[in-house]
Amino acid sequence: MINQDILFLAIITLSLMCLLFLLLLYLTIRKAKEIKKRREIEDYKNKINTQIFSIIAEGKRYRGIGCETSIKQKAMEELLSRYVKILEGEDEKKRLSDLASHCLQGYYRKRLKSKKWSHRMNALYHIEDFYMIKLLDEVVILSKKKNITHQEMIHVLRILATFQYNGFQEVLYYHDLSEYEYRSILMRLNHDLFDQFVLSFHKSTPPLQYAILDVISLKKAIEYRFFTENIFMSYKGEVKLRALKALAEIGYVSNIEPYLQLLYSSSWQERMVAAKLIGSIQEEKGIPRLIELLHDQIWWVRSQAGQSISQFPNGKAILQSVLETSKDTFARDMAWDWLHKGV
Amino acid sequence: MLNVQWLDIVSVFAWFIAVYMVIVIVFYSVILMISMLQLRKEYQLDRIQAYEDYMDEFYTRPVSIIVPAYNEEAGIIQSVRSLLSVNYPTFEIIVVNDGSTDGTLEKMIDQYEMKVISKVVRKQINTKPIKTIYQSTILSNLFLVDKENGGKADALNVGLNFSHYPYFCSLDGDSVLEPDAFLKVMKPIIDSNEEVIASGGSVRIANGCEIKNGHILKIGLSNNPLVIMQIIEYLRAFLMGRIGLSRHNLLLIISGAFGVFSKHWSIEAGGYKTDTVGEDMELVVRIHRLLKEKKVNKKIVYVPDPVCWTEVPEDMTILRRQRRRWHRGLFESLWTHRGLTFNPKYGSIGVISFPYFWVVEFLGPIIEFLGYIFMVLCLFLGGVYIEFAILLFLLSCLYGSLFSMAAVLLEEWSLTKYPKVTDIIKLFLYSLTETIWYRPMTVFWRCEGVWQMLIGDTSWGEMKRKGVSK
Amino acid sequence: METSRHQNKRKLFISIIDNDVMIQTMLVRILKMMNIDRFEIDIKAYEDGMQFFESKRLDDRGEHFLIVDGIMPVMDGIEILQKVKSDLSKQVYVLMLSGRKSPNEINKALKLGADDYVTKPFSIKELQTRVQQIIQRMKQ
Repeated sequence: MINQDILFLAIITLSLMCLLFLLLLYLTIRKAKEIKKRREIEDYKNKINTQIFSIIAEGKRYRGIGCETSIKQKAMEELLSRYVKILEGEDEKKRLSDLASHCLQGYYRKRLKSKKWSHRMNALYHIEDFYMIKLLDEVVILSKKKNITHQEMIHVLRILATFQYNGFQEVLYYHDLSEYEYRSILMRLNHDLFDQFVLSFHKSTPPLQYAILDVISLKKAIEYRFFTENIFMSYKGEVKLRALKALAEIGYVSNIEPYLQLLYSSSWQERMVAAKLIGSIQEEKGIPRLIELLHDQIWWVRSQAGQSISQFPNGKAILQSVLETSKDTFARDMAWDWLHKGV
Repeated sequence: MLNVQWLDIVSVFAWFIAVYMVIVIVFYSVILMISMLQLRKEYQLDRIQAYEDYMDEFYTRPVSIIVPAYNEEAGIIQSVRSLLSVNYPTFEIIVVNDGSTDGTLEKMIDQYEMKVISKVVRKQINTKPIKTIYQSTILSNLFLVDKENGGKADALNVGLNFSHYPYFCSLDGDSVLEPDAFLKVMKPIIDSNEEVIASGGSVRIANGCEIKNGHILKIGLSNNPLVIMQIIEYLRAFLMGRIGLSRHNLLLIISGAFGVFSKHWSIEAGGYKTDTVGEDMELVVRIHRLLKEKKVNKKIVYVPDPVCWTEVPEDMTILRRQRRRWHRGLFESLWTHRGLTFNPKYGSIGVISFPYFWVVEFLGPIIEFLGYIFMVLCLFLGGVYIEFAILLFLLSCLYGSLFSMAAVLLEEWSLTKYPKVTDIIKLFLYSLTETIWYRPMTVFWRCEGVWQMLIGDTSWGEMKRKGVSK
Repeated sequence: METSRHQNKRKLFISIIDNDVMIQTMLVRILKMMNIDRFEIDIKAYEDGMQFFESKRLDDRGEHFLIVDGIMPVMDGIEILQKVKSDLSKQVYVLMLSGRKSPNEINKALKLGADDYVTKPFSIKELQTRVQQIIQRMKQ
């Protein structure tokens, strides 16, 4: 009996080993090919680099750089990717985009239809980076596909936003995204398209609302100050808080009184953001309370109070006096921190 | 009569070991499958592209890098230097001088023009007293905390108390980080909107690589057989074990070399324990425990991309000490939290992870060791016993060499970190030999660790550091 | 006649310190594209701060202009800036060209005496304008 088991086991072991050896063979051949291909790509990149730079930086005419083979295309893609990270001037971007369209349009068009997820994702990344607006239609088609993965969809939406696609709003409403995803998409919209979202704020789901307010914050979009104040007044909870944050970033409110009261709120987040607002608009009436907030229980509130105080012209003097006179070690600590920020 | 009885006993014993091995082989196969599926998806993604979008998010998730240092004057400046050029928007570096008796403190103060600062440090975790705190006048995000000697865990706790940011990572003085390490490791945390509270990065072996100024210039394979076998081990442990376990939130070890943790949860769990050898694993277990007890749905994950390169022993004596220490540390962590084993209250950690670690990771070497002895005895006894020996030998080939070979291929299939074709062939052929020499050796050392524990030996021996970077 | 005109021009040593060779070559070309009449230009690129200081370039007589990358391994851009500005006997002009965009970082560099700060990615025209502005400030 045991003989049979041993035989059985030996056969399994040997066949698995053979399988692994075959895999090894396959992988080594694949690797050798890869290495050769990589060398060719690097050689070609070195060969055309000076020319490409002339085209992008000086506007020299595009002449005779072939991109028929996949090696040349890959080389071009990698070279352009590097330039995209370094150069952002209007002229440079346009020339780079033209170059990309000339060489890689067909390549990406095919890749978008590839069965491999990673191929499609990479194509999307590059379409966005190289601003290949001629492929807009293909991307729109992709946005309507049913069985597309979530990550792809996010990327497609970002591209549509970057290309300022007119039908963008309807497309976005089809999907349920996280607040962070909405934010990164909305950031790319121009004023008109973003406005549409502001107009339909009340119909939006909370994550979208947070995102809209965050984008206003990040862009310090002063044109939306009245809208934001409105939202602050009419909503409660997290939306109210985000609106307050946006106002703090914009640095303007029509009347400071209601906000001064928030410095005494029972919610620490509200105290913190209110403190930020006071510092941002430099409302001197808020200074005494800010000094009190340096002694707040919550670290974030103390820190924000310190930051806000340091934004006033006599901020350093105030912090210095807290450092010298306060009995609270944490307050003194925070004052010291903000006196020494940036060494 | 006696012969028959004797044969029965031997038979039972052999079957016991054989059955154990088969169970483990099945388990490994399952994990291998899971890992293959995971790696396949991300394969060939232009990963660099994926991080640009997160820059804003990364700004708001700053990280404190804690570097515990004890007598590291040889390499501390280099380590700090390489950390300074890390590609991450907001971070601080806290070097904790654990009562070094050499020039570590002076070198740091001198090189980075550090000045004493008076800061209140809230003692959220109890530690040995802090003597002085310094801040660099050139680089305001570099701090140096001088304290009384208390061991690595204590130094980490001090760093934790002092840190300003919500996330921290602990780094060994001799590890070299890839420039995008933090981006890669923080990504799961950000993606999950902080549902993930700790994330570990894959560790690779630096021996044989060309390293300059704290950066990997070229990845290379060492010629030292011990190093090669360790590389295979690490590949196996990381690519197979951790990916599989991480997928289902079963991860129990974030290797001491590199991992980012949420400060809040680590402090809530009580910080690092100072009386154990495996303090990193122990903390992870404790965090898992806390999460389950509080019924909070948080996760601990692992990133398969290598992010950290570290030096491993090239010398048998030192390797032996390391293995003994690791196994003891494993036991201490498991034993301290033994209440979790098979305890449904702790979900899959209690029902799957813990039993796995007890049965496979901890008992495994002991059973394997018995298996090896048994095999040798059988060969001597001859006759029918040889069959048992062959049986166990084949099983241990499957258990050992074959999975290692698979791990090597898995690495080449998905991550392709080693540049030369000969590298892969070399790794593959060496892993073929694992069952014959390396595995029995390490198994024996790990059993030694258990033995030491049983007889109450608590010395760890010194780990001489060679210094990785030029 | 030609030679005397040449001799009247002072030398301007432009040193580029960036660990990325591609950016080095780019910057050299961008600078060469510029029209800088007032000085005789000498452009050189270095891989890191240590190499730069070891070459003793600052000992050469003439105006010195550095374009320094922010994030670098051996010597961080900020360290180079500080070292160069701490030597009060020489007036060295420094333009930081860095991927670090946070206001903190920019303020820190400006406080340490950086003459300008350009973030990556940058526009070629913009960079050239800023370089010209700094050169204008140099005495002839």
